[in-house]
Amino acid sequence: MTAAGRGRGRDLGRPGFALYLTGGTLAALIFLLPLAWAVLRSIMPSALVTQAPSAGDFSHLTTANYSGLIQANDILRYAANSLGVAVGTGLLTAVIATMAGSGSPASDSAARAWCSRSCWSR
Amino acid sequence: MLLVTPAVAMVALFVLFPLGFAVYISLTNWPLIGPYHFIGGQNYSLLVHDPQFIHSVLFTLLYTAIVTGPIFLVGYAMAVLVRSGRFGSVFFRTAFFLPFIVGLATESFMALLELQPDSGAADYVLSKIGLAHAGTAWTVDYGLALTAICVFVTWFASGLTMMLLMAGMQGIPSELYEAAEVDGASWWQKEWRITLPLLRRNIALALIISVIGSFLAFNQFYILTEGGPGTSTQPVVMWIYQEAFVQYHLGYATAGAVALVVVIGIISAAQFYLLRDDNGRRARR
Repeated sequence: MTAAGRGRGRDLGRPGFALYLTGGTLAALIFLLPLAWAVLRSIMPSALVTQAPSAGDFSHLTTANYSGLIQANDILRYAANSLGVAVGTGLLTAVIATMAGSGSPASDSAARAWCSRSCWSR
Repeated sequence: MLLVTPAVAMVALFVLFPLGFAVYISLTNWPLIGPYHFIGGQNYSLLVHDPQFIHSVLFTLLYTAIVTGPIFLVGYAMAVLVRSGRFGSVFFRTAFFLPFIVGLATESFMALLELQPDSGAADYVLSKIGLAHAGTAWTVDYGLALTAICVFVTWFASGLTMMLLMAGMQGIPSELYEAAEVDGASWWQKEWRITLPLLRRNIALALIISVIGSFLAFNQFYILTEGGPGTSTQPVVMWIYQEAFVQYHLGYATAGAVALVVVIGIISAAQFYLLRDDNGRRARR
């Protein structure tokens, strides 16, 4: 935290900082604008999405897509299913991986000795 | 030892057994339903003479050859940009990594919508700045579709390379750079003489993950081109999918899948070997 704090104060006056900020912002826009545009598409009426773009598109924003999503589908059920799978996977992985990762010191050093001989990583 | 048992059991049950079973299926004429019999290596000898399979392999190789470089270079440049804890670097990291979080399938549908001639935003913007004609049908032309998908995948995947390289860069002791600065090293010299050599293992990991990802490419092609026009943009995994679940040749498709596993294994081993840490070993001696 203190290192970051010191870094920030020092950065602002540094040469190249303006370049870093400009380059970073431009690059961030390349990554964020398409995603933001997709969010905007989701609040456009579907008829407009498949039409030629015009400036008037933005004056017809609607939440109909979202309310339709909840009414016409079992989307909440699907989301709950995904959540169940995610939580289950996380818990099971945490338990099994922790158990597999925490050997006794003897097995740990044995594993390391084996690894230093035959693994690609040191 | 007892504690490792559940993990070993899981790996055996969900990795080793299915893999062995897949090899067995590939030696039969397995249909989706009904009886099957053992036919030995017949699927494999058919495979190497199947023009459709060979085309999909060559196309996957071409695709991998095109995207690996840009993903690595863009990822490396972004890692350089965000590796120090400068003001805004956390925001930039998040922004660059966000496409990877949102997911390839979702974004493929976004891309499909925006690449539509006359109504898509990409088509509109590119024609306004003069990079393409208005009403370009991006997804039904081999060259255009391949170009669009390569740009799209670079946009999607370079964030992961950035994360992997950034973690490695932050692990390099700052004393090395300070010593180099005292000796009057330029930015390029520090990057070339310190960062790159010490980053070999991270570079190897980033490249292997990227190449494996390209070999297993499916979503973007399935959603954007459906392999078309014809089967010209059909990667190997889509060939496997078509053969298994459209043609119901499960044994034959599995032979293709086993061949893909072997090829990926060989290429990964070659990359590990080429990018092995021999510099460090020599220094330690």
